[in-house]
Amino acid sequence: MTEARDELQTLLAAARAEFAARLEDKVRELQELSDRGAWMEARRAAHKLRGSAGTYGFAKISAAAAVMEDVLIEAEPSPDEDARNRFAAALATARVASVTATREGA
Amino acid sequence: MKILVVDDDPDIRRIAALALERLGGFRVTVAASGAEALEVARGQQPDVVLLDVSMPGADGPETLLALRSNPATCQLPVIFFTATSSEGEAQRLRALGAVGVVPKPFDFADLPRRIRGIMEAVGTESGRHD
Repeated sequence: MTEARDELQTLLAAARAEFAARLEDKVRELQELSDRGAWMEARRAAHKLRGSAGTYGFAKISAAAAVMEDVLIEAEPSPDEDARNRFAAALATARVASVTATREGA
Repeated sequence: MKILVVDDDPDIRRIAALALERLGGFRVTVAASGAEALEVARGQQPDVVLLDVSMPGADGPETLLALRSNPATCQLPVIFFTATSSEGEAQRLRALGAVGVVPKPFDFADLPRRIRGIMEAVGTESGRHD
């Protein structure tokens, strides 16, 4: 029983570490999508990050992704300057948190 | 109990499968799209489908309708998985025919209990054990 629990913890830690290692790429993808005005794709990517980051225990990144998604939903079909600024602020928060998460190896 | 987890996000598929297999004792099959889910559901006849709402191609609601339109899968209980957690959205998804809605992010350790709770509430668990 203890062995099974240990194995589960090991699997979980590995999954979380691998996810953390890719967080900066996920945030970079959001930056690239917003840079080229691909707002629908950015909204979808933010939606995914909101769910996955939260599930893996990265609450700050999940919360920032939720802001990004909500901003883009409110601003459909295309965000105005205020919405883009709010999106950029949330993206900056996610970027800082992703760097920390990657550096700490989750 | 056999469960089919459908999500285009590999990170979600991975951790959901881990939780359901290792903590919940489920037999888990995964699919990365609505189209793949239809094929797997027809072939493997899971006891329940955990279906992501937001997917490219056929999204969750479209996939649910496709499952309902096929005699081989029309009775399958479907639980939606969504990062849009408002009560209005949950009601909309239940109105489509889902037996439950699990919000994302989800608590890894709590997921198996939630799925079993939903299945027990709708009474579909009895007689479908392996």
